[in-house]
Amino acid sequence: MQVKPVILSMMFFLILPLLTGCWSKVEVNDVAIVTAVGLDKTDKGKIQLSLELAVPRLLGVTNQSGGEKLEAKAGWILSAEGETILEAYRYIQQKVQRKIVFYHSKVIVIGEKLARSGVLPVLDFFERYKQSQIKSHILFAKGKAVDILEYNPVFEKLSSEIMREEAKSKKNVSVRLLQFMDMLVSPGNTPMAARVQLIPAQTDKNSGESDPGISKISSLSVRGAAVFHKDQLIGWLNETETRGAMWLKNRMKDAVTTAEVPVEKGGGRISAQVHTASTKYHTLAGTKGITITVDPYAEVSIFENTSKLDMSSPKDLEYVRTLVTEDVKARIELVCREAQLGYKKDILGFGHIIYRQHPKQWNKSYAKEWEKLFPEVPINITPHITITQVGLTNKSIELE
Amino acid sequence: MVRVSGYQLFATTVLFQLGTTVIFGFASPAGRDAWIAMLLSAFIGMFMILGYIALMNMMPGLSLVEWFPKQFGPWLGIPIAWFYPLLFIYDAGRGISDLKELVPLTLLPGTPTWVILGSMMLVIMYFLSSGVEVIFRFAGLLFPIIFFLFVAEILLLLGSRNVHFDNLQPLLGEGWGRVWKTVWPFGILQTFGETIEFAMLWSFLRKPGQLAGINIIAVLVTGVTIAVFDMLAIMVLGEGVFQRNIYPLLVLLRQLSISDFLDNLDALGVMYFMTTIFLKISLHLMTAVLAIQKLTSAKSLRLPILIVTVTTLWIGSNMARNVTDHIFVGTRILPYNLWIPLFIVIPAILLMVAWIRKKAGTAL
Amino acid sequence: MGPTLSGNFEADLAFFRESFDRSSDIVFKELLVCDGYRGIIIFIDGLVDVSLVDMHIITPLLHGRSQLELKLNEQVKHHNVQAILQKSIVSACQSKLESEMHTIVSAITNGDTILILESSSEALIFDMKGREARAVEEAASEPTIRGPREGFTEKLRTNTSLLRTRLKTNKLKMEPLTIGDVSNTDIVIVYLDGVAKTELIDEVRTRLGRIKIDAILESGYIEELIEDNTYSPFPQVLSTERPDRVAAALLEGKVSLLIDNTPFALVLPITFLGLMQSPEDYYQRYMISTATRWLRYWLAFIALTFPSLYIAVTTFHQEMVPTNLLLSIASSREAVPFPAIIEALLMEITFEGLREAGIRMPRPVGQAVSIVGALVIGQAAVQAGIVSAILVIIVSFTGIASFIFPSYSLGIAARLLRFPLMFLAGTLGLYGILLGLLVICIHLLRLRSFGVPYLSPVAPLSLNNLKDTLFRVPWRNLIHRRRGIGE
Repeated sequence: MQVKPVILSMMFFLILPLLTGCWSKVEVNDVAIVTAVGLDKTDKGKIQLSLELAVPRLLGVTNQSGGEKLEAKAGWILSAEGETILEAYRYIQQKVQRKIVFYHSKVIVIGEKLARSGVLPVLDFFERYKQSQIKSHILFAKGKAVDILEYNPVFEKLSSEIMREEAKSKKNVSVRLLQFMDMLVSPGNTPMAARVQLIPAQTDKNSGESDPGISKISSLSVRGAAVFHKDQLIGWLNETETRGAMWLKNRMKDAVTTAEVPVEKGGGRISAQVHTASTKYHTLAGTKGITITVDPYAEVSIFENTSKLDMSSPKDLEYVRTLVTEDVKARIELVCREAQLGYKKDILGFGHIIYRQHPKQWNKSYAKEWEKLFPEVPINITPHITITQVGLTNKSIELE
Repeated sequence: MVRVSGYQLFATTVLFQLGTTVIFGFASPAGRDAWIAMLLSAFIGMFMILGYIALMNMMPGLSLVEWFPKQFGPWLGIPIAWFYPLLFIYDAGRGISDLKELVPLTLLPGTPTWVILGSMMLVIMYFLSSGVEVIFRFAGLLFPIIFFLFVAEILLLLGSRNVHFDNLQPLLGEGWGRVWKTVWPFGILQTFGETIEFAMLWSFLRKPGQLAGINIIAVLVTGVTIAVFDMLAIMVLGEGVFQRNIYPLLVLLRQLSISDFLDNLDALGVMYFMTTIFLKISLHLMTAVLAIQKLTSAKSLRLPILIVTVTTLWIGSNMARNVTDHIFVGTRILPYNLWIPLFIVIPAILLMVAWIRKKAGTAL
Repeated sequence: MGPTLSGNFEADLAFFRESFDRSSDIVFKELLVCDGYRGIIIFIDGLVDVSLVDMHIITPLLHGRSQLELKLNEQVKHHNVQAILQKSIVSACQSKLESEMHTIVSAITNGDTILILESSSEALIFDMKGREARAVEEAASEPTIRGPREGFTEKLRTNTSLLRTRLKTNKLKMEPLTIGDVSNTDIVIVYLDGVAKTELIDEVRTRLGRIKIDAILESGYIEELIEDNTYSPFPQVLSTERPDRVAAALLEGKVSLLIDNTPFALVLPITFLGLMQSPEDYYQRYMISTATRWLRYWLAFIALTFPSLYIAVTTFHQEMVPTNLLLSIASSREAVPFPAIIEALLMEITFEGLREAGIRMPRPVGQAVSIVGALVIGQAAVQAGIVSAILVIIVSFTGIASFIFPSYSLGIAARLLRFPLMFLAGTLGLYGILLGLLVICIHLLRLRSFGVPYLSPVAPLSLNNLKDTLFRVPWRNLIHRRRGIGE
């Protein structure tokens, strides 16, 4: 008697394959793997969805014939328009025999036009659809997203690879969809994401003699940042400003600061690498109004010293420290000024910090008027820099 | 005679209480204060469970369904006792319904649900027919594995640099209101109230003196575990996504990657979620079967098992059209109409009656 | 009680001749003892050491006549002649008197030598077994690098001696038993008195007593007839060729069964994790043994699930594979015409077939077949585009992993269970694998080997005994264990 369930379930499991056929089953060679998604807005106001599909045949290692060219692009870009993303996706699916799958798409590129009109309508798809990766990197293209996808890279086989690597690298504001959405919805915060653009080939100088193979290739670069008001793109930050913003967003991971030594001290430059950095905020929100104090803490080490300063002398080192401090401060101030005076909008998410530290006041009074208040809010920046390493030498070489 | 060790009861209790909560995320309406809500529920839930244990101690050796006839007399007691196995079956049906939503969404998008649920029910039937002892041993075996996975998951998440401690701030920024709303009644009842089922099983414990201690530790472990996961989910996902998502912990798992070698571990995560659901459904059904056996004084468990599993399958596959219905019923209707009376009101009356009778008994 | 010797020499002789007619290997050697008594020696040629019979029975009887006559004269009474022979003439160490026909016949078939004298109603039985037997060799199925090289042989007596030399104590008990209506196989129940629980020994005795079978040709017969649950792929009794392993088990309070004509001894009760241990674990340094054990557990899991995981992941859960790996799997599968499940089944069955063929083939051919076959089929199949290169790697890794089981019979169970898991993976993906593993797990939890839960000491948990399962702690800390197991 004890055996019955065993036999029953065994029979069930043995019969199962016969009954099922294959419901949910898709073979690897029947799927088209999306590696990057591009979104644009057409002139008619529709959404243009572009997908970069990987072509395994061109990617794999089994090509032993050797006949194929190395630079063959392994991605296939398909675009379609639709009122919603799903609609556009359906159009693309009709063109492709294989089943399009999204779960390997790690990059979302959004074109400038779409971004300027607001990204909220397109984000829902990526949060809701189970195949989409909420940890994808989100990038904003200066220009059209589809052009970015179509870029033909040199080292990698897919443009998405480059974007992913670049976005991951520490020098960029690497923002994942998840964080983007979080910034979008949390009170007082505004999103920020990396900018991607095609830099056209430099043909201005010495173009005639340079290697013809290289100079014609433009390059894809992830630099700078896109800044938003609510969900609308309102502008770009250049590289230097982005640095400042990264300090503020507490995303500074790895950076180099260069301080110029004044001529009276002997001139030259000192470059320091930032190892660890974290930014703390102190806010005062009282009856008098709001004051924000930014305290970036950083540990740096000296990498290059072309000045006459002696790194073994505590006095000189202290002087270098103040120089670096000034440099960091200037960087942060630059972007704050840009926000307060240029955009006149809180593109850096200071509101969220106020909310975090004074939730009741924020909800009660500041939330509604923040837009008006922000340009006037005093922002103090007091960097705390520690020099931990000076490298292997004390003084630089000096010629008598 | 089945005898269960303290460790096994502990493991079973913790896994039972974790159950589906690990998947659905606990108290997400409370936003970034969900973990506070969790700890609070655990604390209050602990006293509720101690109340059940007090009942147990007043009627040693008797199981849940035998309490009522003993205190209220057979005419009133037996009908009340029948409510419990029915509730357990219904709860098991809800577990099945969870599976019905979760599996197609995460693992098998195109497979008909009857296959998914049917095959699971067959395994459960086999499990039930193996007896109580095997269920306890299974939990004992599973517990270290699950907790090893939990720890691995936490370490991987902490190592992934996606954890932002700031997301927990401001603490109680929106006040106690939303915290309290999730604690009562859902938080206490769903996770800890259901532990009343174990009153069917407590009499198997080898050393009855350990009962209270085991339960206190179990509740604390459960509370802390879920709170930790809530905190992690909030730190990684941010409040907005945590609140909006139906399966926040699933999304949490998706953030993991083991040094670019294994990606999207959510499928693996779903597997261990399902193992705990499996255990929970089995426990619901086992207690229901034991209760039915006690009430009908059936000799063999075979028939009750068959009836109970088939009923559960039917309930589970028909109770909700979609996950919205399912969760709505689970959070709005069920607690007030079934759980409060059965988990709190009736046991409280029972406790009072038992206490009065005991007093009277000693006075006489 | 059957018929006994009548005392009528002619009639008795006729009875034996009739019993053993048409048997070319039976020897009837007639003698004339002291001119007066006719005698006959009966034995089966090949089972008996003829030179011993010659030296110790025939020679004294024929040449020690003067002494015999002397003794016979002293005690005139006839019937004592057997006793006199037994005590003072024949120089064999094991001998006894027997009058029952049935017993005498079975003694002959058992390889004993019989001497019957005229007008005597009792026969003398001498043990002069001298069957040709294999020498003690290294255990072929369980080799070790470090550890004794001796393995059991087909000869029961040799095997008992191998155990006795390891455990030199009078506590080592060896209860004899004969099972099989036709084969009359000798079986010895071995245990350490005072260490093994009496209930366990009683249980073994009852279960052995219940066996009704015509022949026991190998220990596998016994194993199947006494195990708790026949409907299980998992071995519930350990069969081993290694005396050191049996000795270790005896020290843990287990019971062993030695069976004549097979080098495989049975040890019981046994647990799943016990089957995953190799005797060498105890001879090597404990850290290395612990690491080896974990490697073994891990590879055992792989041997069970790897192909099914491949199927599930590539056909249902492609999102789990990192993009680059997925793309290279996809590109290697590009030309493969079959679905992954068929592909995997094809290769797995081929592999299992090769392995089985390799065992059954004559040894020199077998090795060549398995190695060359695997290489050729793997390489050719990939190039022909029938299977993908990735799958060949997976199948071969699974193959390696399935060799890791220290117990061959457990390895077979894993190999067998791999196939249902593959089917499940092919239809329900990871969900199917999960269900399959749950069923296996529940099954293991239900199993008991002579009352001991199969998964102990993990479930039910016993922390003290974990010292010797998940880890192998140093001997110094392991000493108490000796008394623990068998509970």
